[in-house]
Amino acid sequence: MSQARLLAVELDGQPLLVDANLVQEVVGECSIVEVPHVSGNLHGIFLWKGKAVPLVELTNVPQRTLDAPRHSGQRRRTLVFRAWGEWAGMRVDDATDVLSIEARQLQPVRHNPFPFARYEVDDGSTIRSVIDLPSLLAEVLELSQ
Amino acid sequence: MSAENLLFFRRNTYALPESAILRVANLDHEMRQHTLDLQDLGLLPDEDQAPVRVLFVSVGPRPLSLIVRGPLLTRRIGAEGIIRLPSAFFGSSVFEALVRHESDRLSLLLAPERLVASRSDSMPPAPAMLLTRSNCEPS
Repeated sequence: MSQARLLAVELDGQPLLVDANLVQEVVGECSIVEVPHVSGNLHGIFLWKGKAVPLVELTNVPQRTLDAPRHSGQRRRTLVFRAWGEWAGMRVDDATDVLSIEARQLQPVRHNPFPFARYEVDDGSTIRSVIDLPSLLAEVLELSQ
Repeated sequence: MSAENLLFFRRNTYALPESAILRVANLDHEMRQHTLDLQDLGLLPDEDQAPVRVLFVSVGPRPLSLIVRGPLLTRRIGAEGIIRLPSAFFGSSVFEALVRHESDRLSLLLAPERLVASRSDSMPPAPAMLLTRSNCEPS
């Protein structure tokens, strides 16, 4: 992979990146149906284009700064993505732009070792973690089996 | 999934196919000993206090009697309003679909056979005398 297309998102004040090729659409706040019996990173279901799409949550993300907004149950954006043949959604506080990142810029995780962080990208002013959406989804699928 | 008559309860949070409901009765003392509350099955507890009804869910050899509180509502929902849940995520849960109302409100459709199967062996089955057809006049 010489160049990666990564979508810049923000979650609890943390600047993150996800593989833009997996993201089909960024939609606004969704009405979520909570489902009893599920736990871990699977949060509920929402409707998207006539489909019932499970909503996964990236939990245990450390706050970057003390004044950063913390998860209040509502997030402004929902990423709709596809991995392992399944549609899923993930809520974030914001999704801004798609960045082209050279493969050599993808560094091992050193600064923010939280769950599902695969790489880090340091642009000189900000260190962003690259979240591995397929791994997050794989864990949820295993939990529900 | 085709159009179905669904019975909604717990303030439209949940629905069951009307075809799986053998009988709806007002709760009496005798029934109370044999019935389950929503939370016994891991569902969200009722917030209402009354009216109190018992749904007799008849699937398979061990029917279920379930206490629900608050108003019950029956609606016919077209096939387009019943949205199946992806089985990779929810295949083993007691839910099988989302139900979309005209108001765009969403409910969870319970799979009767999975609901009945989810009851642990320590929970009491509804006694046959409460479920016989002769005892199933509308309450």
